[in-house]
Amino acid sequence: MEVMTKIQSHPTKNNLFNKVRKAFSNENNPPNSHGNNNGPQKPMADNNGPGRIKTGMQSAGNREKNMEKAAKKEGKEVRMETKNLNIRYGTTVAVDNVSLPIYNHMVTALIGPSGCGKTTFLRALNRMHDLTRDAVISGEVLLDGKNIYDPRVNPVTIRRKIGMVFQKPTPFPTMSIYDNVVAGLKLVGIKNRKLLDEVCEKALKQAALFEEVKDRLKSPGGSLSGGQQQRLSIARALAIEPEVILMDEPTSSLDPKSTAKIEDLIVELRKNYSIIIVTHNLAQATRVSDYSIFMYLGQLIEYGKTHKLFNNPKDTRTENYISGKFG
Amino acid sequence: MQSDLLKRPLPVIYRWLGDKIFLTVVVLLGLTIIFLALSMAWVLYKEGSLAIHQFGVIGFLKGSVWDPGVQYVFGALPFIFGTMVTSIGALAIAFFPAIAIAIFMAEYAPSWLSKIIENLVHLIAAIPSVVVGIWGIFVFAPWMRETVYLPVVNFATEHYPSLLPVLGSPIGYGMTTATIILALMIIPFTTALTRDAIDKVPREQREAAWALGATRWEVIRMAVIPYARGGIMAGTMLSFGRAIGETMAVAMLIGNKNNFPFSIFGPAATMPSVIINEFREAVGNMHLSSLMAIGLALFAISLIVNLVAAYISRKLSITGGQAI
Ligand SMILES: Nc1ncnc2c1ncn2[C@@H]1O[C@H](COP(=O)(O)OP(=O)(O)OP(=O)(O)O)[C@@H](O)[C@H]1O
Ligand SMILES: [Mg+2]
Repeated sequence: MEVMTKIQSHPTKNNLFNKVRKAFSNENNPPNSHGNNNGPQKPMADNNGPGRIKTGMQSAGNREKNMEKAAKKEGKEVRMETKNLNIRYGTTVAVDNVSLPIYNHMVTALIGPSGCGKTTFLRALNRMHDLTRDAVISGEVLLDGKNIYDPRVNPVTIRRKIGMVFQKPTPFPTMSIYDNVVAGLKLVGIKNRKLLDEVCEKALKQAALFEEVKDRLKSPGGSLSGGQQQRLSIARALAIEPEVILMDEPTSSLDPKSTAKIEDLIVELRKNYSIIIVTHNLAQATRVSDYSIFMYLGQLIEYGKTHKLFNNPKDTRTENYISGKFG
Repeated sequence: MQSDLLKRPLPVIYRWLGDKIFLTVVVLLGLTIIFLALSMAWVLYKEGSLAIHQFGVIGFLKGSVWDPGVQYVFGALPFIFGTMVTSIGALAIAFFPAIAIAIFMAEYAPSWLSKIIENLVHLIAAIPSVVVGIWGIFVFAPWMRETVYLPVVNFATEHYPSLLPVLGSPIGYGMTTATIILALMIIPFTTALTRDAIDKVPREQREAAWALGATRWEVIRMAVIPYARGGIMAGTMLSFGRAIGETMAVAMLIGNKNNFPFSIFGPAATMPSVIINEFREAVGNMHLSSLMAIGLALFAISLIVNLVAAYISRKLSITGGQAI
């Protein structure tokens, strides 16, 4: 289990990226630097320590381990990791003991029938559950080997590193398109107009929206079409240079054309980011993702290379799901 | 059996009749309210027409002398001025505390505390105006006189005697006292309306801000307040309307001085206060008619304020992620 805490040196992108990142990096990062690699796995109270997996989970654990080995062989790095993640709402268990790695510069699709806990799982990855307080979380979520639920970690810093795009487009309706895109940068006190202009243009270009809005950056974000609003939401998430982007059914409210644009975008973004995308659209999962996770009733059933999982599923439940027998 | 029943359509005549009856009732009720308002305005106009014809609409509104005793001349300006100054002043005092309380209730306080505050706010809003007035007369006004007005006036007497006419006599009953009491009375109202507006902000908006790494306060500034601004402004306008019309407590505390010059601490009068104070004693037709005309002006101002509130709320409200 200890293989995966490899601390990343971030690939250098370009000057702009670094400038922006610098602005974030001085944020209250807790003194959590356990220089060695086995350090941060602090098991939570009500869990088995990592590595001591119950017999029932054995096969899943082995599979995961094998995958990691395979991945290492291919030179894949683990960016995030969950360990024995349990999430429940009251007595409803929504996520049941999920342990998995998320690879760097990969698109990972999260699939499964409605209500199986995909959204709940995803929101645990950037501590969005902190806000509602109805979810009880145990286990660990590691980002670059550090547990983001460590009490010394400031969730605000985590959310800047792990961006999120929601199912419904959520532009701030009273802000202009421009202000929407740079909203996250203004939060950290970046006021340099030139830098903001640059980031705005770059993010809009990445989100394949620039051409459509370049002449009306000052008009309100709410004045765009649904598909444009969703791309604006993506641009806004990209502008703060997160390291991981979580997307919860980002195209479910969009027409095929906008969907295609966003899918292209995801494939493109993979060069710079690690992406986890929840989708009900299996064709979409095969089109955009490198790895796929199949969840069922809160449990991780199968996780592997997308083409393997879809062409050659190991679990009958996965097979049933992808062949449309349920869900 | 049951499905059979459901399948059989209701005879058309019943459905038609039901719709018609409902429609008629609703329309009648609506018309009654409009009719009541119009007839009230008409009565005010009829009773006030004597004064309006005598002085002219503009002349009456601009007239700064109110003298039922000797000259028998009536002008509404002192009261319009008094109403505006006290209401705007009260709004200025009440606005930020009310917004702060509402934000605290909606965003920071745990729900039990938020409930307690909400009940307190409702309780304060329910205190009858005359009770607030009595408290003002016996407690607040004397306290203000001793701790604020007298020291300030004494200081001014020594150092800036030229300011004394502006400050006015520190008797305790006057414009400042009335304004502060008015502010206290509209805080619960503004708070409740602001809270409603904040509660309407969709969770997605907040989450979008959270996901950008906003702190609690930044979420409020970035997502909550801009989204709720229409509701907050409309609520503020409605509170302003309340302040304009507030009668009893103001009449009890403002000192009732019918003519300029008004001063900061000294007595003044508002449109409602002059009506309630002089109605019983008004013997002359012109005097009575002038009071009615003031009533008409008050009616018109309140109506305008409410219409503006409705307009703001429509203009600035946000539907479906779209700022209209
Ligand atoms: N706020 C909540 N309070 C209580 N139970 C919840 C809450 N949110 C989700 N649940 C429950 O947790 C389980 C997982 O929900 P979740 O939203 O994660 O499913 P999902 O896989 O995202 O489904 P879908 O594909 O329909 O979006 C469901 O049984 C759901 O009813
Ligand atoms: Mg979901």
